[in-house]
Amino acid sequence: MLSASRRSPAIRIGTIAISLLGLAVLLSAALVGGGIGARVLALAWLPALVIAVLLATMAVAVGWAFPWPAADPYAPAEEPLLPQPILPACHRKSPMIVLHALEPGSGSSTLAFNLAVGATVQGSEQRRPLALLRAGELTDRLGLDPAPLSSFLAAHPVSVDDALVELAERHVCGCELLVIGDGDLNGQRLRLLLPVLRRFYDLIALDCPTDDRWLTDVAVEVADLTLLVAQPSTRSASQAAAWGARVWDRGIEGKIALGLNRVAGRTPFHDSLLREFRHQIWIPEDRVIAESDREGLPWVLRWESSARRVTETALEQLLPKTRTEAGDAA
Amino acid sequence: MPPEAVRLLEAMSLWLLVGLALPKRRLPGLRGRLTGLAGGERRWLCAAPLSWGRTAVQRRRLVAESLRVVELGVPLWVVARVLEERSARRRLEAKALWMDGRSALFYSRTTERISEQELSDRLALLGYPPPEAKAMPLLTARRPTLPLDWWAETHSEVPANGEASDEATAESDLLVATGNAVDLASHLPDPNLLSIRTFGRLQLLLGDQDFSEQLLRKPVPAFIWLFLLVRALARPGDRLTRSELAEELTPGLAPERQRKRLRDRLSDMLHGEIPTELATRIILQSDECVSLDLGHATSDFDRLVRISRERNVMDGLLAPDQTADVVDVLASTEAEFLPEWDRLEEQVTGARGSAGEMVRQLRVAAESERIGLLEALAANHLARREADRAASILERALERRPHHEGLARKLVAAYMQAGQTGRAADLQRLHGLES
Repeated sequence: MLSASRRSPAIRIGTIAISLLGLAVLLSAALVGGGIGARVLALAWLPALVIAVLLATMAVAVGWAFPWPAADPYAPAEEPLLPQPILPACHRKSPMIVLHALEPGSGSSTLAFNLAVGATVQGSEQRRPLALLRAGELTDRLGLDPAPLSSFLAAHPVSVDDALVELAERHVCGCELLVIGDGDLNGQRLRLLLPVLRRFYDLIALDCPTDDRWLTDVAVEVADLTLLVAQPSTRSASQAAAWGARVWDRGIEGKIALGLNRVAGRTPFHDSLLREFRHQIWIPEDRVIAESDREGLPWVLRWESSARRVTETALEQLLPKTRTEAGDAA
Repeated sequence: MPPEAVRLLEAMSLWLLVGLALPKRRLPGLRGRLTGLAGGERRWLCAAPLSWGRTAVQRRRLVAESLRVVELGVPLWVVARVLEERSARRRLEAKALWMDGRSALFYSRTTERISEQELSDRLALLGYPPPEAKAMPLLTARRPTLPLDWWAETHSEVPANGEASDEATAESDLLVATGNAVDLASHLPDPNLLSIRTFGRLQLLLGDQDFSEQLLRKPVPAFIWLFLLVRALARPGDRLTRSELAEELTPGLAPERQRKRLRDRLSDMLHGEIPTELATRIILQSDECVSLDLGHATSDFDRLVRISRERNVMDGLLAPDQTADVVDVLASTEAEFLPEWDRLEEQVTGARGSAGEMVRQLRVAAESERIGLLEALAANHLARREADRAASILERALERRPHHEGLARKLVAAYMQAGQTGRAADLQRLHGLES
């Protein structure tokens, strides 16, 4: 499948080629076949020519009147029409949103981080969200270390006290970040941590490790919303299909959402698969995300980011008391 | 005019009309795209002009826009161009507003263009509160703990007022001993009785010897033995055939190879690969069935289910010995059921069988029984006018089942009975309960 950046020239070249072919067919029919008879054509050639000339003149006039669009290095070459997010409201105090990547590189870590930052910044009231992130490139860029939490969990196998919150690093926006090392978190530990975290944080975004089914089951059970983060690939589609069946069997479709990340055009997610998920969020391909992640900065605070707008809408739906600056201005 | 020229003109006219009037590409959601453009949410109707963004060269622009004209047809292109221009203006205005807003301030702070104090000052000017400070644990005063020998003495004394004292000590056990398993083995008089503990950490105790580590060192025999155990717990009395076990052990293999592998594995297990005390419990029946002999064995899972069911038989107030049992079983089953299973299954079968689902069902069942016991304990306290204790128990239950409306209602009732109407009102609001 052609990437979005290569699709636009391909479509245009294809359009021109088809048009020229059509012209060649018409000319051949005209010269060889004895003309395109008046019975076939509703128009005589002269009015058709006049209309064509008028259209061409209109095009030239409009092109002359409107200046060349200003350059924007972050705007995508192809701009697909994506559906608006549909997510359930979390009315519970200190809701937990679990992000589960359906394949590596889906973007669950950056989404968890930016959801926490977005929730801090968007609300009119003071909020202190927490993002629990898996150790990886993003946490390295953020200067975070999984060792403190790892040592804490090893030292507290059966009960957890409030000293846990001292381990979280405060981001300048006001949200806090904790890093989970490989194998540090399991189902039991998650159950132990959650009551403590809920006392101190207004929102918990957990970037859930994906290699432990027990942990995944517990996380889905205790979360207010589980967001399955997918890419537009066949691997993600097959994982989503497996989840769809599981969700249906357990009757938890109200608290599961499908998050399709990096959407640039058509996806291998067929309508029948998408219908299995009542709640969905589609995030467009966005160069700002990669750039921001490289620098360890939140893209949800950048004007140029098209993913920002989708995330803001999502947070408004998830946390209904949120007011946006646009809403305030209105 | 010669007829050929007329025909040529006809063809050219038709071609020009079609080429200039009609769109040449699919436009799914055209209405949505036009609406998005009009509202400033979209930048382009479909895509940017081909050479847009590159160095400004008139000829290139002309070619790029001409291609768009042909692609969209003139009428649609004109509408799109007008709306794109309007969208660009709206976006510029919105950007200007944004740059003076809260998010831009926070972005400036993240890029260290402004200080924390300046951020707070400028947020205050906009009417927003400053960002929250770092979360810190509450300071608690140190209190001396009760020495163990005094605690033991207290528990061994016969209380003067009988039932209430037993319940009080049982209650303190529940509130203090979170996650600590009670040593069942110390209460078992029979050294030949196999005590199977599955919550928190697998323990297979015979007397004071634990065979679980030796078993878990061998993943495949451990998988077989634990699968038989899980099957016996999930479907007591059900018959498991060797072919079913073979399918579970080596899913997807040809039946002959499955049987051979199972035969070899079982033979190894019965001939010293795992401790004899565990191997002798594997029963190979003559009718091709396999089972685990749980006679002369106890398991914490069965105890949990039994105590939960007995509690149901005598509804209402719990007897003192029942209360002690309930507290004891809750403490010993606080942790997750068979936590080693998932890694073991992943290692041995790649989690392709149905055993994982059975374990998940057992975990869900255990959790349901525990919630039921917590509810019963809380009801017991409420019946004895001890609403505070009931509320603390129900809080713990609700933490484990945060969406359980029934629990939330009971907790609200407990808080009302305890006189904590504010907390009760908060809960009603949080869970969307009717007042």
